[in-house]
Amino acid sequence: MSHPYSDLPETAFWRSGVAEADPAAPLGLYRPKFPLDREAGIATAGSCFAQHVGRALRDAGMTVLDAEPSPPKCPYPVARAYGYGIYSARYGNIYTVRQLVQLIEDARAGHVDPDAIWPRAGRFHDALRPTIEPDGFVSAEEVSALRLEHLAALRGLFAATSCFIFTLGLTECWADRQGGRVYPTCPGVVAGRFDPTRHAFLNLRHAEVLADLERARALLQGFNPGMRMILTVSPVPLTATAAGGHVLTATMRSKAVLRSAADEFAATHPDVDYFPAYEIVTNPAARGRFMHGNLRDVTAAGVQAVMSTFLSAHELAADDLAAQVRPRHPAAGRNAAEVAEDLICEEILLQAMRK
Amino acid sequence: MTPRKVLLLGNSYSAAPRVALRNDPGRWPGLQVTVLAMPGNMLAALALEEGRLVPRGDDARYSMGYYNDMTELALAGFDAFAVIGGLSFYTLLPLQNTHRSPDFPSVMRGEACQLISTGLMDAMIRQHMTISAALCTIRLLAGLGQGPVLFMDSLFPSADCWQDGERFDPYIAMAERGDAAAFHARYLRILHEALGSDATYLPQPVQTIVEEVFTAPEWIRGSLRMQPRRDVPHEKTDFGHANPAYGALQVDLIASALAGL
Repeated sequence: MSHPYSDLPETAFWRSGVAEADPAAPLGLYRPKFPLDREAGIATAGSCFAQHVGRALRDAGMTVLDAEPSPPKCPYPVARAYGYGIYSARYGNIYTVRQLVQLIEDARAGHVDPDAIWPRAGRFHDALRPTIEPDGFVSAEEVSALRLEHLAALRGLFAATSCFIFTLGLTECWADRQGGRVYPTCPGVVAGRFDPTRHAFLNLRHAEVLADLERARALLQGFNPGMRMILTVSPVPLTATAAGGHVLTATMRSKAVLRSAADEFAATHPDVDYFPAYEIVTNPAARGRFMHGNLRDVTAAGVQAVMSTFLSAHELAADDLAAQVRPRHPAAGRNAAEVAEDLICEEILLQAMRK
Repeated sequence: MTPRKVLLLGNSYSAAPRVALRNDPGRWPGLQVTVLAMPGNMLAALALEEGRLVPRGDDARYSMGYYNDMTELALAGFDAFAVIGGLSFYTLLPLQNTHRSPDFPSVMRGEACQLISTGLMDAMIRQHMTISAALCTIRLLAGLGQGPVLFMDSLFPSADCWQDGERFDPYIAMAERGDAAAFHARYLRILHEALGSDATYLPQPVQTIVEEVFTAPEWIRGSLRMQPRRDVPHEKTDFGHANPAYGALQVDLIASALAGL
């Protein structure tokens, strides 16, 4: 007897597709909507997990753009501590699509928001990328000057980017009640001062994330009409929720919203693809081995599974991604586990700053 | 007690005081100086083992033997240490060739450059110092607790270094922009922070400095190589190493500093 399920491939069935499949090399999980070649100018951005994406693509010989390279002779540990070489520009982690939209708008306008300069202990932080200067800037004027340079570099980056890979991280964020500007960290955590009359908690909904994605695409294609986007959702759970409920349901809600919005957005546009990094890491068949003991950080094996799936789907497989670090990479000599754990993540500060 | 038995460690910049000590030992009565000279990267490969300085690795062992006729050095009996070279203001030049922070005089005047933060510039300088042969050696010696450690970094390039434009043009450009003095002041501030209580810094003698960041050529001309067996002059195109007359000033400073401790 024939029915719609009778001729489906093994990947369509849970038992053969997941339970009995190798979680490190899931077959048929990702079929790219469009090809990505080594010459494509790639820009990466997003939440902490996106750092793995850029690094693995670079190690695989892809053309990952860097609009703000570190100064010559800058020692690697210093460059990294100051946010160089982590993404395609020195914007730090971009946790929400709303944050991405306002960054692109700021770049387009060359606009520096004076309210987004936060003091702390005699130093000044760029509230929109609060950890790129570990000790803060020496003055508010320096923050503004460096941010203007950053925005100018972004205009060049966006114009040169043919594929923008963005990892969606969070729906929860904090915003200025008056102007609506969102911040990557809650005021008061890295710098600044939390003021409940001024700062509002936002938990972006599906429609809002979708609208932000549409806006981001339109803005990016304003710089380069041929730009394509690849979206992923970070598998890293929330460090903490301010939504009033349990962090587990808050995490599931956040990831579901992001996953759903990304799905709908990708389905709508031929120039937008979705890559299932979230699904690979949280795959129950991995039996937790893609997560560290804190059930939050992704292991080197998890990162390898994600990136080898991506690269092989694009027929760009690195010769030995397990080695993770290639000689040309400044982190050469460190093992895959060290590299996988070496993420710069402001969100984790919520835990560290807990009373 | 005024320290008198001094171990002087250094890279090629230790040749000047070594030759000065050999040529005119009577100038510093009572000062016994042993010189241990090795290329800077080899100096950083020295380790302490049961009160002895020993080379780590074959290259360092060869270097220690070639330049000093020894394969280890017992430190017992030395009551002071002087480190010469192993860090130079000149080698930090590339950090500011293209990238400068807002506190550079040229940036304040509005001259074009790649702007970086004041904190990043400081951090780059600090990191270069931290891993320099000089600071590695100083930390090693200070950890002994056996006596004071003095430090003299490499001297400024010669004022006639313009003759080697390929090498020194960026340095001259820094001076012409008016950035050199401020950059050197910053270097000294960070150096003092990095040295902490591990060592006392002895600055380049003022009478040898011209135009703030150059050495008067008469303290450079006639410089000798680190070659221990015979006097081998540097090429005329060497504008960085000091001659024995400058070396004598260095030993004067060491003697004076130790007398004051």
